[in-house]
Amino acid sequence: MVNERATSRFPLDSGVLQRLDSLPLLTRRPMATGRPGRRRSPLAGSSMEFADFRRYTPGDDFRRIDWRAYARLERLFLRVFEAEENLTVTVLVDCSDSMSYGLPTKASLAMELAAALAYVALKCEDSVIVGALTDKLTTYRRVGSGKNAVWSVGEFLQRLPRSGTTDLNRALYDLGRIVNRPGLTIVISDFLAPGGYQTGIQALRQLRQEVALLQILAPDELEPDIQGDWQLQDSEGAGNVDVSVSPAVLQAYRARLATFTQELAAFAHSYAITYTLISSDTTVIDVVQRILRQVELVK
Amino acid sequence: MSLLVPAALAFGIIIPIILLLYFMRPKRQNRVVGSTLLWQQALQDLQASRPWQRLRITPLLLLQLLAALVIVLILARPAIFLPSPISGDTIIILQTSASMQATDVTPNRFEAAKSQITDLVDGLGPNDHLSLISMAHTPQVLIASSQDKGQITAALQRAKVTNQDADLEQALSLAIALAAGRTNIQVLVVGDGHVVAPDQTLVVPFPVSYLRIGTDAANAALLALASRSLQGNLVALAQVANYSHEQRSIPVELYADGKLVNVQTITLGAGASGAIQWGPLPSLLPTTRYLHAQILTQDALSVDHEAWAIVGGSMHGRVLLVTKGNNFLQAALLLQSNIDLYKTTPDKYVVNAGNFDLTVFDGFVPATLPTGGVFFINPPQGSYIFGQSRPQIRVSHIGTGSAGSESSGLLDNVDLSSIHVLRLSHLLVPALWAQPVIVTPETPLLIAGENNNRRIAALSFDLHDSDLPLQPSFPILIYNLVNWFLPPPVAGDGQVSPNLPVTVQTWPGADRVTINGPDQQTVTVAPPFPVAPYALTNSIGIYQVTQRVYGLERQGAFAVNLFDPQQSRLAPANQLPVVHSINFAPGNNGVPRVLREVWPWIAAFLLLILCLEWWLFSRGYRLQSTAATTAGKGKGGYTRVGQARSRNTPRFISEARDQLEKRYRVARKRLTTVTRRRKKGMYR
Repeated sequence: MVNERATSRFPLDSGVLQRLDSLPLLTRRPMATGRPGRRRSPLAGSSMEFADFRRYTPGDDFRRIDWRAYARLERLFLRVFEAEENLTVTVLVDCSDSMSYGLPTKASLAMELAAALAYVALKCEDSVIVGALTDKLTTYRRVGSGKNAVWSVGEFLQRLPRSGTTDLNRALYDLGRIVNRPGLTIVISDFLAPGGYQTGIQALRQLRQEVALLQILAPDELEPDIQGDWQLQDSEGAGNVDVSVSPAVLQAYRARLATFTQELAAFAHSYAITYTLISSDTTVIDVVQRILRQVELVK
Repeated sequence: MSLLVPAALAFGIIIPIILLLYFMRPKRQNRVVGSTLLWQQALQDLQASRPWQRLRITPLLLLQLLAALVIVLILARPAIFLPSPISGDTIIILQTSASMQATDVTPNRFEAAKSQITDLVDGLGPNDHLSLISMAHTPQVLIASSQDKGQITAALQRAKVTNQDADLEQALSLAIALAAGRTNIQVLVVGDGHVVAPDQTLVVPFPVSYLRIGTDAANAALLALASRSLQGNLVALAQVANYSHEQRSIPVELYADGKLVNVQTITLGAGASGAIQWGPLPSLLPTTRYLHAQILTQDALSVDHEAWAIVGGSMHGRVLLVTKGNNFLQAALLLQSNIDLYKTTPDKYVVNAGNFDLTVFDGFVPATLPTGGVFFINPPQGSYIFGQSRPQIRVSHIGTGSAGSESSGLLDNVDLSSIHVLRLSHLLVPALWAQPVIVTPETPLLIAGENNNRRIAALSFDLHDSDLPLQPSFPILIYNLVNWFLPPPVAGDGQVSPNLPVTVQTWPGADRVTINGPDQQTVTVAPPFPVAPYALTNSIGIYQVTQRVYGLERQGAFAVNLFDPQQSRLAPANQLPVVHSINFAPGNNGVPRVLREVWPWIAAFLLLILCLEWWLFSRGYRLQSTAATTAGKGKGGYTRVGQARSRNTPRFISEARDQLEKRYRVARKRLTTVTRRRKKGMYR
């Protein structure tokens, strides 16, 4: 399906894409987007899937009257079918300087993951919006449904900016300018924002978005491997920290990291948000097929 | 300043180490991380749980470092060289003579000397020993070789100033006795140097320092007061001295038995002395017993402004002369001022009629002897109480007998060689208790002795058969005999130097003797006999002596006067009469310099630092509590309005604010009530 020309502009190779072909994106509940598609809608529609009977009221379509039921009961009933709609999947990638840290970098996995999720969404004929976050919503691209749109996604991801500071609150708040319908928003970031993330995510919820938070941290951030006296420089220029690394300091760091991730998870749980923590040295197919399945973001 | 333990300064290395640790920064390598957010929070968590924190320079820290520095300094035991006369083993001789009462220094010389000694005692080192001797007429050890400052100070407080002179020679002898067996002894004499002049400059085996007290202050003094009878009239004499550097007019009052007689003013040149005479005063003689002179001028020393004298004898006795006629004897007895003479003839004599203290039988001996003393003259032949009087014999070579020695005083100033005519005398055979006073190879002429509590004397010849009554020695002999029979309380003219113990002479037959001093304190000195010495003679004035003799009270007296030019001349002596004595004065190079530790002063400074630190701490604590209280009240809503009131807010504003606050509470309470009722549907 993806030829060689396309591979050169798409972050994922064909082998990965083939393994993604069979995966659909899941949402926790049906959403009424108003655009016909392949996903179940909470509203009644005209699909082939029978849903229920309803009493006839004047003005209803005669063609949906169940005459057999009228013959038995001498009452007019309409046959109601389920509606099927398409979803708008917004994939937001943190492009701040902190994402360039790690080996492999957090940004590379974030880009591959965004490409994979966009591919899965497009394959399901969902609309896709891909955006870049720094201290604001730096750039975004709305691509139409259909598999051919992956080229546009690939091109956009290849041209993502790779610098800037992090302000998730403002960047997520900016999303309100381009999203006006319910949908699924996937935020890929390390969430290491000095200003926090809560306000921005709450803003997403107010936009009737089902949210998934994919936190990517480098292996060095999950388990620091340093000893001695260091002056740690923040990649985003947030200030230097003089630290004499000792087992006690490492223990304090681990405790703080655990607290940080637990707070993020607790926040996500309280807002019915999907959250998972991913190490940047994980392969994208592993992330999609194992981790995202565990959190039921893909099937 | 020196340090006794300079090695302790090594502890001071801790202070620069502390500061070095504070100022040193570790060399760190740079490393770029994605975000320092978690590291910052981790370090904050670690710092919150860490028992120490980053050192911050605060006034409290500086004070604590200073306190640590001072403690290190104290451990090093700093010491400085100070001139001190009491290093090592020191004996301080404190002069307590009369001149130390002078008030030319505040409050007086004695207290100033004690204060100086107290200062010296305060500087006493831990290995120093100190002895204290008070130097008056009789030196006294107050404390011997003590290191206890408390005991030394207590001993010093026990020292009292006296009206005596000061005997430096005896005091140094006492110091030599104290210093026996010890080395490195030094003596410090504190006083004005008015000491009894020794025969020659004293030589002692240790150095003597002299701490001079007092100034060259002006003083007027009474140096003598005496009275005599001149043709039946009383004449009083006083000697006055002017110890100053200018001519002065000195008024002197004279009192007779406490009544003012006269005031005379004498003008004396600088350093001169003169006499004042009152009288003749005819109206005073029969009744007056005491004279009191007083200088009215105010000056530095007042103890020598008064003088007391006894008129006539210090103790009067009743004497009966039984004779057919003896003008020589009668005239000699009438010359005695301390007796009241009565006369009778042998045929009219009645035993014990009149309770006489002394009965003189001239050529007659009664069958029964009276009580009291008895003096026989030319007793007829027979046996008597004093022995036997045998027929008259010729005598030659008059001499002194065993009882005529100086101890009895019967022949004091009596020239026996002037007796040229003595033809016949009874041969006296004295009793065992009688001692011959005047003897010849043939017979004793005068015997005397005490038998059964009374004194008896016998003269073996008729005074008319000798030229003795014509000699000047005769009234002297009678005087001595009368004073032997009726001795005055104090020998001599009844004058006693202050603080000298007095042993009262009693009359035969006395069974109780009391002394009443100027301070009206009566002391019984006998019984038991012999009479105990009476030592409470420090006060200037008249001391009444009362003897009960055969049931009768006999009054006597003696006077205590200063009369000491050495003590009245107030200018301090420039030097002590001691070989190689050193005058101690601040800055005197001759005074030894000793190393004194100064850690108590540094400790006081440390205490000051700690007090300052405590004050800073409590002040900071108060500020923090005030801030915390204000912040806490701010959370309380309306309470903040009333409780955050400034102290400077006017009172009416405060009252208005209180009323508003009260109304606000009521309104809020009502609103709560209405809301609750509305929820319950009570208003539908």
